[in-house]
Amino acid sequence: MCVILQNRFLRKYCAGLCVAVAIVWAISSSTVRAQAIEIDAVSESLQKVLDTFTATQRVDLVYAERQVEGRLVTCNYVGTDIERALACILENQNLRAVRVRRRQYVLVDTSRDSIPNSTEDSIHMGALRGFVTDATSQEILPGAHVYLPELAIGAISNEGGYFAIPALPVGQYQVRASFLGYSLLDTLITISEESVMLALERGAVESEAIVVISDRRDPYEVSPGVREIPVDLISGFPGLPGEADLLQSLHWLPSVQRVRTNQGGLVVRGGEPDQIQYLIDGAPIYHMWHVGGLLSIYQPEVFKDVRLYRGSFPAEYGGRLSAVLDAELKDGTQEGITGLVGVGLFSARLFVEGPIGNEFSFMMSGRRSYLDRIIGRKHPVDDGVTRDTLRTGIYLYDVSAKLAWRPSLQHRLTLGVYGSADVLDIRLPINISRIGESGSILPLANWLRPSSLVVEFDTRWSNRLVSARYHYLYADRFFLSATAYATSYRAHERIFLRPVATSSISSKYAVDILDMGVKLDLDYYLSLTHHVEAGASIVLRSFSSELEALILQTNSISESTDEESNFDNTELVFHIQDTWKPTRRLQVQPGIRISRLLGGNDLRLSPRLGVRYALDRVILRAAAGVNVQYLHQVRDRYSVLYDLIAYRWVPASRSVKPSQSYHGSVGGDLSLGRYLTAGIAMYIQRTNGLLLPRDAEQTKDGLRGPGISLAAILGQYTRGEALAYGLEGSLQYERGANMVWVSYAAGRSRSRAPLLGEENLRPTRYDVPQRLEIVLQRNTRTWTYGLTGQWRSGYPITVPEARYAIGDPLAEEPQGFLYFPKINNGRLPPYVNYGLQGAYRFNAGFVSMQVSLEINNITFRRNIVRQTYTFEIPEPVSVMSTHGMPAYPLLELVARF
Amino acid sequence: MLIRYAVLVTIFLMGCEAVHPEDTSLLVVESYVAAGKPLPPVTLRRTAPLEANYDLGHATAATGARVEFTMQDSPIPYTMQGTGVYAPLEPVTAIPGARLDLKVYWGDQVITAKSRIPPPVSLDSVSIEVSDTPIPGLILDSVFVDPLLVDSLGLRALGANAREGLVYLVEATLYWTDNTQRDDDDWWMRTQLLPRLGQSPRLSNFFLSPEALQLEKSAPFANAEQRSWSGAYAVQVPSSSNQIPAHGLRVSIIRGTRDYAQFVSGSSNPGESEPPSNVTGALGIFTGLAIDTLTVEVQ
Repeated sequence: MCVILQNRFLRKYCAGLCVAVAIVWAISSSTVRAQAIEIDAVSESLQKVLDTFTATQRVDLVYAERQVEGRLVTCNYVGTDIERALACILENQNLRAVRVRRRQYVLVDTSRDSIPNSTEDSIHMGALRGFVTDATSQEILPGAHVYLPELAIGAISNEGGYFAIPALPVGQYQVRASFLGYSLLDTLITISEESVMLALERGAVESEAIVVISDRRDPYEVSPGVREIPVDLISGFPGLPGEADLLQSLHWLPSVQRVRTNQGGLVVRGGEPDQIQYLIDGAPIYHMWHVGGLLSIYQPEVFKDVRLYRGSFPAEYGGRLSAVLDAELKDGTQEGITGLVGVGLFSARLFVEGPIGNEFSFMMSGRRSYLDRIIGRKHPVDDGVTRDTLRTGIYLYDVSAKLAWRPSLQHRLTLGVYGSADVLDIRLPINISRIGESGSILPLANWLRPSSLVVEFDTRWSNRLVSARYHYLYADRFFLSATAYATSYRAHERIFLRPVATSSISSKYAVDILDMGVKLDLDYYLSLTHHVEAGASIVLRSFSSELEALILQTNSISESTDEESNFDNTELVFHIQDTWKPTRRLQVQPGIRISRLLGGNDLRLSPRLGVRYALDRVILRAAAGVNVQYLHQVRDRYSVLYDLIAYRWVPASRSVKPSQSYHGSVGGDLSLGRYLTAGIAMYIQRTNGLLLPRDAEQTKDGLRGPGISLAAILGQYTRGEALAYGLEGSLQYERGANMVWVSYAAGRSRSRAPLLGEENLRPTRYDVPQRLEIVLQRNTRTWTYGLTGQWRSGYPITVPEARYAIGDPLAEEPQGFLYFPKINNGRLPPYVNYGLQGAYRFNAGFVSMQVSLEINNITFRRNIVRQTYTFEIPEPVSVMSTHGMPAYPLLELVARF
Repeated sequence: MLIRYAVLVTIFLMGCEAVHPEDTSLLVVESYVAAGKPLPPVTLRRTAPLEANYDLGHATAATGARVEFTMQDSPIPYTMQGTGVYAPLEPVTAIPGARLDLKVYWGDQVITAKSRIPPPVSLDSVSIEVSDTPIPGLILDSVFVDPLLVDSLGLRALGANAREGLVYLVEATLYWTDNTQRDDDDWWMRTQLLPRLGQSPRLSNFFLSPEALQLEKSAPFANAEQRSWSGAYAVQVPSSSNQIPAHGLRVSIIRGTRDYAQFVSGSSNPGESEPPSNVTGALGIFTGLAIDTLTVEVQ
């Protein structure tokens, strides 16, 4: 594998990875130095002899007391073979020690065997397997932990809710099942031929049961890079703009940072917003934000499971450099028709789920803003002479639905659809004379009047997604998943401006992306210590953009543009990963992802390795991996006629190399008693093949741009590289109704463009050296109230270091300039925001109601979000600051039925 | 102990004495060598701190420099003849097509730049048309189009000093002979209409484009030899009964190098980025160009 890699860094990395794997393998598989065993027991208690033996030989032996109580043993053994020693102890006891794992045995009652004096191989072995479900809705729960405390071994339910722990001696075991937001389930299960159903109860506020709100409480976690998101917990945290919004709330996690772009976005571990892959039911979503990033398309009620993979993903995931957010729509409850209605300041939402017969269930949800319904979309404006129309068609919506068919435990078929759209349809027939007089845009009637001068925007963007998934339990050890999907993103921008009665500017711009993909995944539970996951996928991507523009300067001077740009791309991926548990404490997860673009010679190998070592109260993790991103997000940086809302994605090709990152992380989680958990992680990521703007400070300030061809857009960017590293910590205290959540992140994110002569790395636009967030919350049956605080370093800005002047042949006076020697060489002041939140719950008939109020920025702090510089020769340069939002209340009413 | 303190104080004072105030300013070079014209001076200024007034005179002039100017491998002696202004000792005409080299020695710094003089250009003719009657137009005293504000309808941008008024549209078409077709270089054309008016409706002019920068070969041919460019600007009037005020219009055309084109296009946002410089070791511009201007009276 290493031989065919051409990249020097990759070669070094791969060599290191190979060595690490070899060392782990050697350590774990090497024979423990033979130790002398001496047993000399005459009619002694079997239990006592076994206790002495396990203590002196450091062997785990699992058995029930009833198997050994009251029994006496006589054994004389001198040697070095553990199994012979055990055979000596258990002779004539109708018991046999069956090896489960290295230095780990289970006592099996051989009297049940049909063959007396059976060998180990003939001892009846079985598998603990089955499904984890929600006890109420019977929804399958992917990602649930199933754990055998006596053996310190377990499994994670896969996306079909299935788990299997094979090669166990038949017997009765204590089983513990857990899932975020659900009460722990402790039960005794006798292994048989049948699959078991582990039904978990959703955790209730002030419940006596232990409710799992952090994945650290369970010492069993599969992937070192994974961070399962407690949807119920996080969605209860405040998120702008006060609406229930999962993505908005994710910034409370230490590795996630909310950034403000005109499209919205999240940043994970110093990456860029386009380096996160958003999946809904296995299908990618390209644009997940409404109205300038205020609101995401993720309503928490709609999803049953959301997982965030950071940095080093399992081999199943790829295609992005920073993170993968994998969300699974709810199947719909089997309990009966339930749902909720919510009304917030901006939008109203409806969610309904329920059964259709015994085998089907459904879920439907919708959310829509209602401002346009209140103020209307079209308004006649009339000055007594002429009439015109004012259009205020501003709205957004998202809808989702899922139909699930579960004819038996072996089969599950789901069909999910998701759609979202934003529309900004505005026509302003303007007489702006009055704006200048009053200095304010209010009242609108002063200047919105029939006029020959018009401003029109019709901008809309949408996502459409259809995903069909089939889960098939082929055999106890084989679980198949097949996914077929189609997802599209469309953005249309129409602009019409008439600044002078005989001059106009009109443009129509469209960006369309269509992805169609098929994925096949296989879970193979090879043995008690090996779980192999493999899969293959093919995705066909189609990108097109179109621009029609007419700049009519005068009746005789005009300029038109009619361009289109189309390209396709097909990506093939194969992955395989083994989850290997050589000892009760150690878990190693090697994997590899192989991807190739059809039509190109670019074959990429992305090795992954995760290691977890569990102690009693501490879990240590390390992970490393290579990620490849075949898509670059770009945007025209010159013209105000297009690419205002839309971004374009440029697929990798022969001329555009994919970006590639090398990621490593180490960390650990610590359980500090029953109520307190803490976590810490360090990471480093080096990325090459990025597209960085040639002129980072270029703003859209011109009518004409270079056009929408691939060459025109790529000409505005250059190759770059980045380095991000940091430290993350979190603390969670939860006792009764009180909860404290603290997350802290310190890190740097730097990049450079060598082709532009940049020798040193400089801060990226979202480089935030320090960030601290705190949530204090109290939850009772009727009230939730709390205080939140956010502190973070200000974003980098480019500040001038000097000023100068240069003349021009066509200027009478020299023009003053500011000298910006370095990009992002300064920083805005720290951002601070304190908020209050409260919610009151009550019942009104059969409906349970909740009224929520949030007040942000309660200290009225004027956070500076932007700085600009003004100057005229010879006056000194003055700094102008743009401030963020002042204190603002947000209200929502939710009714559940 | 006393001796120890004395030594430390002495070292400290010596250190203070040894440190000279460091001039961290950068050199700014400015020189436009116009084809067929006498070689221009090379103006050398220094950058200044942000918080201070910027004086274009003595305070920012770079004096004491040595300038080596070479045209087509022939050195032209330059000396300082004003505050920070270095000019040839004798008048020398800039030769079209000639290569230019500049070396400036300033303190321990050596600043270099290269360029080439394009073929001369001349405005063959200019035709001007004025609209018959004034028409409504947006009047805005300042234009700043922020993409974020545009995304949110740009009301704040429009709300600053905006009003609606009446404007006359003036349309001008420039013709020049393309004498560069045997030249291997790609030359850039900067064309500009500059009305001599007290007030200018800048928002309207933002859309009307009274100035352009384009590759010369992308300008349309008006006939077999001449290329042309048309631009327009607005002249505001108080009422519909007003005639267009008589005013002078300076029509300019510059044939320039790619460096000059980048310098011009990078000069549009002086508060957020400086124009790219073709001078190594300093800021500024040193370029050959060809220029022709004429002023007409519009009424």
